[in-house]
Amino acid sequence: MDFLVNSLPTILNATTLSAAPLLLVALGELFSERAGLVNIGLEGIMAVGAFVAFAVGKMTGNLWLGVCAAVIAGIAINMIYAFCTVTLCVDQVVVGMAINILAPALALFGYNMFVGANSANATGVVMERLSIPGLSQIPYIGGPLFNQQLLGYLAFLLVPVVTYFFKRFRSGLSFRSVGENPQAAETLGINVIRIKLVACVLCGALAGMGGAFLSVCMTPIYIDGIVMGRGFIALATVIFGRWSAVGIMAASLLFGFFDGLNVALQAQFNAAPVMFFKMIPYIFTIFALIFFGSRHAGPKANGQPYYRESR
Amino acid sequence: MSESKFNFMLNRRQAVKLGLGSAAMMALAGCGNSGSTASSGTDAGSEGGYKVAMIMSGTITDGGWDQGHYESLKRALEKHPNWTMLEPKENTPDADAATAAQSYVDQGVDLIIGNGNQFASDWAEVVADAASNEKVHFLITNTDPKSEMGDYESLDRVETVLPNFKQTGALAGVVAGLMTKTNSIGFIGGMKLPSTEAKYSAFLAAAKKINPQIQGQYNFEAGFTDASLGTKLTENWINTNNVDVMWGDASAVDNGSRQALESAGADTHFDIAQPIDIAGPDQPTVVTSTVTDWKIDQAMDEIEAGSFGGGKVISADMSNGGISLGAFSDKVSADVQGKIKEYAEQIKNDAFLTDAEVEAIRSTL
Repeated sequence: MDFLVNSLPTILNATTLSAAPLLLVALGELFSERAGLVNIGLEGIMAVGAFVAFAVGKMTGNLWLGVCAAVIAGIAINMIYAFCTVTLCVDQVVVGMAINILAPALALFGYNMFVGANSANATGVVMERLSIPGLSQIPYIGGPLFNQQLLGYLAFLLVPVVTYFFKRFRSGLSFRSVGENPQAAETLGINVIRIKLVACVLCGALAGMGGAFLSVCMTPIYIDGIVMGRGFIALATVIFGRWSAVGIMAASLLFGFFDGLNVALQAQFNAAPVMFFKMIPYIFTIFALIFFGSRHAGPKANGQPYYRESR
Repeated sequence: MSESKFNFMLNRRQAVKLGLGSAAMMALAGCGNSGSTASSGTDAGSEGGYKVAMIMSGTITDGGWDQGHYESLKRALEKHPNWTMLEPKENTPDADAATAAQSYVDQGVDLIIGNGNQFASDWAEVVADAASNEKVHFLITNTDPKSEMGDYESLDRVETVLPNFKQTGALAGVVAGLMTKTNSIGFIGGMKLPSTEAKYSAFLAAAKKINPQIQGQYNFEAGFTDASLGTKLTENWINTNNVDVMWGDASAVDNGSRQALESAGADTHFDIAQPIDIAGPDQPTVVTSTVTDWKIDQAMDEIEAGSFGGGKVISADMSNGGISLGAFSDKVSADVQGKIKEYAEQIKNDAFLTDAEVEAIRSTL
């Protein structure tokens, strides 16, 4: 087990690096599901966010402009979902799948337009890490927790903000009411449609930001398939996290840990079947869903279309 | 009260607009999937010349495999002004590979190039159907026709290209052996193919020939897209095995690896790139590159001479410029560059590594 001790810094680094984009996207999904909208189109929104952040960051030389553009692009894509599911009451799963097909294709189309045959445009830069003096020197956990990129810190700082919002704010309570029983919420004077649309805006923004993390924090390139299933993993972390921001953070960190462990095992056991190690985070996800995936824990009206005039 | 179907009712005009908008978006999505680019800019329909088309699983700017092929094609076109290039077919999934090839057959393309051995299994039927078409020729890279094209009815219009993996690996191994200060080197491959194992075996054997104390770390199944995996793997090897020189064979994953090397210190941690020459100021860790030219020019010469086909294998090696070392960065001293050139000459003459030395490494994988 010497390798585990030696690999611990890398595993912990990988834990926070893998957890941050999942956390951003899953928090977006939390807003959506709390308002009764299951958005499985996160994978597609992340792809668009990753491309837009990369392209705008490269063009302007300012990665934060890239992140802002990714947020706007994420919202724009999710407005398709909002229009179809909230306004037209189309099945949420079908629309989500359509976005998962359409959005990466849009991103790839944009990439081909942006890069073309000019390979100089194919590589950008990554965001600088921001080390917190003192705290980043703590053995083992100091580096992974306190030497991150600003977007990584932001992901973790959002957790208490979102928790406080749902527990203490009147509008947070409105979100929860809409997700539990939209008809009852409407009779209390809550504008259900508006809440659902706001949820779509927040979900799109955070999913776009999560996608941006991949191309401005993790790696300085955009490539078709860069999201690699993280949108679906984020969906699973919402369920595993029992629809609470703190739970989602724990689930994201746990997934990140298993991802880091997978890499450490791959790195140290060269001749072993690598595919077995690669399965570890996904096996964990399946087990987590088996044991924690009870639908009873989620918002009661989750996934159901809302017809304003129904009773 | 009756239930409303929607929370918003569409009139006929709005419905038509929505329909047209959806159709436009689907068309856009189709363009994205096809991955076509306006890169060729050539008059493919000119009379009296030859036409060439390339089908690839990635993009022409992937910084690795497909970019290497595309640059080889551009070099070949410079030598053959009577040839014109159709737009390369990028991001072609296996399921569409045969359709893409057939569309080029229908367009009367003289040479259809498939970037990689996955096309060998995809194209058997297309090649059989085109057997009577004397105009069309197929070139599939990185493929051994004996072991990978056994199901072909005829190889009359087919040739393949195989780089000399021993030479490529040995060149990278010599550079790694001379550049490492920690005696620990690493390699990332995208897929566990015989070619990947052959490259790594020669890489480590050559490095050990320079310095027997050198140890190698490897991963053969990193895929070609997950750059963050490259970062994490390399970071792990740096932390646990003190790796200070990497050689990659996994396109985008290599980008991630270079990022980890840069974080660890670009003056002490180095990368050897492949298959294109990318050393330069924007790649601070890259000390040199092992460059592969896919000898498309030779295939064009054979087509013009009427000698192409029969399942022949075009060997890309140091003698015909198929394998070479790219530019050195200023981190490689003149003394080391001199030694590398000396060893490269021995590698070219097959006087540096024996097959047994390479096999000794391969048998341990």
